[in-house]
Amino acid sequence: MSVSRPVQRRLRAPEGPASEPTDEALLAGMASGDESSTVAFVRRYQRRVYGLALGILSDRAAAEDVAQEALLRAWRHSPVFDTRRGSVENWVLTIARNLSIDAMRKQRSIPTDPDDLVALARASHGTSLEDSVATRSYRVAILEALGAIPAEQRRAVLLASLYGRTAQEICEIEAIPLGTAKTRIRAGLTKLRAILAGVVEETT
Amino acid sequence: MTNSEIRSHDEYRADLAEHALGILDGRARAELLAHVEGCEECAAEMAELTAAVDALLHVPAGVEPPVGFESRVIERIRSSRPAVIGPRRRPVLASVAAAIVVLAFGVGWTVDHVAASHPPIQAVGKMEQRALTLSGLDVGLVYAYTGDPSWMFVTVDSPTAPALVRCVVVTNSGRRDFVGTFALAGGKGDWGSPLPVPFNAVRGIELTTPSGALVARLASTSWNTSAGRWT
Repeated sequence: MSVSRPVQRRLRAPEGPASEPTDEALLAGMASGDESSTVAFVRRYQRRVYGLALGILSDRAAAEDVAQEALLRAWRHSPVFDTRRGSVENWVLTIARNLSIDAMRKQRSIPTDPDDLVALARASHGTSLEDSVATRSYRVAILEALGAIPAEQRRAVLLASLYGRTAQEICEIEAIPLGTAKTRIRAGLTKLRAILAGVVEETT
Repeated sequence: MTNSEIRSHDEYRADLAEHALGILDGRARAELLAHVEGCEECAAEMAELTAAVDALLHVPAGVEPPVGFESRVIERIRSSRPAVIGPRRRPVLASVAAAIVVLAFGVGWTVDHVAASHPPIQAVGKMEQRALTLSGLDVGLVYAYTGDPSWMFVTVDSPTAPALVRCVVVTNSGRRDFVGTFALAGGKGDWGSPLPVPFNAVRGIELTTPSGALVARLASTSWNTSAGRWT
């Protein structure tokens, strides 16, 4: 059985202009208590964090609460962030996603249907002048990859990844057997990974 | 045979996606991780699936937050600050960061963005930024703070770099001062340290493997007193 080639470098989000401080430098500055680093960090990530929370929650007030808390936590935990364990960007967005999931669970509902989330994302990609060309291209590639996997698998993967739904919950939401939910999750994510990596492989 | 091997490899492999998505329950996750620790194939696949999950974080587009959002976040941070300032857990990194960000970007980049709503930052020194190269290719950056004490912060992104890198400062007199060793993951990493000599005595910086092979260098610098910077 062959081992697929690593894809982390291919899947890395684009980095900012070379003239600006790196995420790691800003994070280290925050850890030192430097306010200018904190302001720069908040400015760099507020749109992304707020957009992610709003995309999941579909509620501006709730999204602002989540986004504020996510940036506060990023600041609070900046001294212990380990750059070897992943990118700052994914770390911050993961905090925002987890807080969004917590907020969503209190509502006991899924505010944004996964299909609508993708449709909104497709409609908005490329329209944000704040994003760099590289960032927009990266998002387009992800959206195209999502569009290339079967709809039921896409829903399962998004329900799990952005809404924190377990296989058991997905089986209830989608009214399908647990085994089918697990298969959709596994097959969908595996295909997504293969597409994003540019690797053609049999995944099911 | 350990407990982690009771299930088959394929059964563990089937759990990788749910683990990457963070929805695997605690016991299954613990068993899977015990298996992955000794299974190169599963470890590689788990890393790839996790990268795919991370990519999904970028699906929702960035959206401009409501007016005043930034101020409200900064205010919350300011009001939380007394609780976390005190004994610093990473004093060296913090000091390096302060040198890099407060002073360097305070002089240039940051002031432009911050002055409107926050107190200006006092500039004590300057930041010099230079590329680290290997055979003419950029493989990283070194930021050096010109104040007293002088600091440097190194970032490396070189797929061929080893896991451990030694940092040596070459002084104007040709002396080679060992500064420290730092770890890279996949050829990437950051590291900071006080400079062993005053900033204007630094002629070059070299990163090498533990055995001494060159990984990256900043060379041929000299201090231009009239310009107050490296040239």
